Amino acid sequence: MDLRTIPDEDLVVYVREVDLSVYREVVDRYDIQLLRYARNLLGNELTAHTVVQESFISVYKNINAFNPRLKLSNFLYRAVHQEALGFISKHLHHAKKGEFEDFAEEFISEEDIETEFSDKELIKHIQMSLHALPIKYREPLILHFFEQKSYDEIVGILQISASAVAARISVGKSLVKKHVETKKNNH
Amino acid sequence: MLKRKKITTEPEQHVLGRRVMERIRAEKIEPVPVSTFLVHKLLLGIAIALSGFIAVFFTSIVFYRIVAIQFFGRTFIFEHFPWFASGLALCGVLLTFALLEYYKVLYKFSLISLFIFVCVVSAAGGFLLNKTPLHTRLENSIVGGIYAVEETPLHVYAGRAIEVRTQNSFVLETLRGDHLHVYIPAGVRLPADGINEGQSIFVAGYQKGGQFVVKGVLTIGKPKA
Repeated sequence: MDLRTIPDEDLVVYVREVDLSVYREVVDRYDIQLLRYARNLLGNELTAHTVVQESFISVYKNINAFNPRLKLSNFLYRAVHQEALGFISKHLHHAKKGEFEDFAEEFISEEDIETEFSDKELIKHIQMSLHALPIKYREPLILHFFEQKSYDEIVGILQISASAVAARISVGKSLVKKHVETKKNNH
Repeated sequence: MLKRKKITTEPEQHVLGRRVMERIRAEKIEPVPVSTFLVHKLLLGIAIALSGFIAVFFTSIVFYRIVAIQFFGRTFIFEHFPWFASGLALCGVLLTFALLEYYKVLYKFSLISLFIFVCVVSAAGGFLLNKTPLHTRLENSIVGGIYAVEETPLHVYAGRAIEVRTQNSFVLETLRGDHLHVYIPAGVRLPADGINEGQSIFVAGYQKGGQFVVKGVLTIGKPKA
């Protein structure tokens, strides 16, 4: 049987009821997306790896809580969201503002990001601004603009109301815009 | 909208999958059984139902008290407002709201909508519960003590004056047929026409030494001949 042809939700049922080792396929399907999400959220490669790994372990433990009528990707994103928030709340009081800027610089310096966009400076400013945002506004922006998630999906992942998602995205966008404009003027 | 950036780090993918499976094997991690989630859901359901019941029950006591004392005017309501029941009702509302919010039971509601929803359900439930004879029965039963927790436990009776003894005491035959020896202490405002036999009367007060000491008297209509 070719596991790659099985739809996500059926795969979870298969993992639960037939063979737990097939869970590897779930990890392989989503690790790239979740790593990108965690990296954007936390601004650090190493931390993102740790958080995503812990999230996959947590999902494995709670695989019986998954409702096959819902989307697996949302369940996984939700797990990363919770793990990332846990990590931030644990380490935030140790981290100074400068450290977050270092994370942002490290993130921005990756070649694969820069080559994707024509206006490198603008992207750099946007990335910087994004990392300067509180997580509350940063996360919906990342999910919507980087992960291409719809409002409905973000509602499911963050478990907040649709109006709250819309408000956070709107406020986040205006904060990023303001930040970028200030940076441009300074230049 | 920003373009989705491409990351094509194939080896990284294998590393994560391998590490996750290695940890699962090494630490012998097992999925949590379905029964645990069912028990969790059940307990959460019971907790929400219980806190919701507290909110509805005590809200209905507030309605019960207000309805009982409203005949005696606004001042009476202020003086004898059921603060304790209101406090417990508010605790029930807040507890229900906190449980629903913390466990994301109705996460599609905004915080304000959720709070309003809990308040409206409690108020509507309390109002409907007050329409039943539950409180009248409970007040006269062994759990009647909870109604006396209020600073001034106030009972209200409606009936007919069957015997006027003095200017400030009379016998009231209640709607249930009981005879109540009513005493009106100094300071309580008497009706303009005084108390007359055969008159329909509302009294609010408390039992003391075989008498019913009133805090408010209200006569309805003209005395029957």
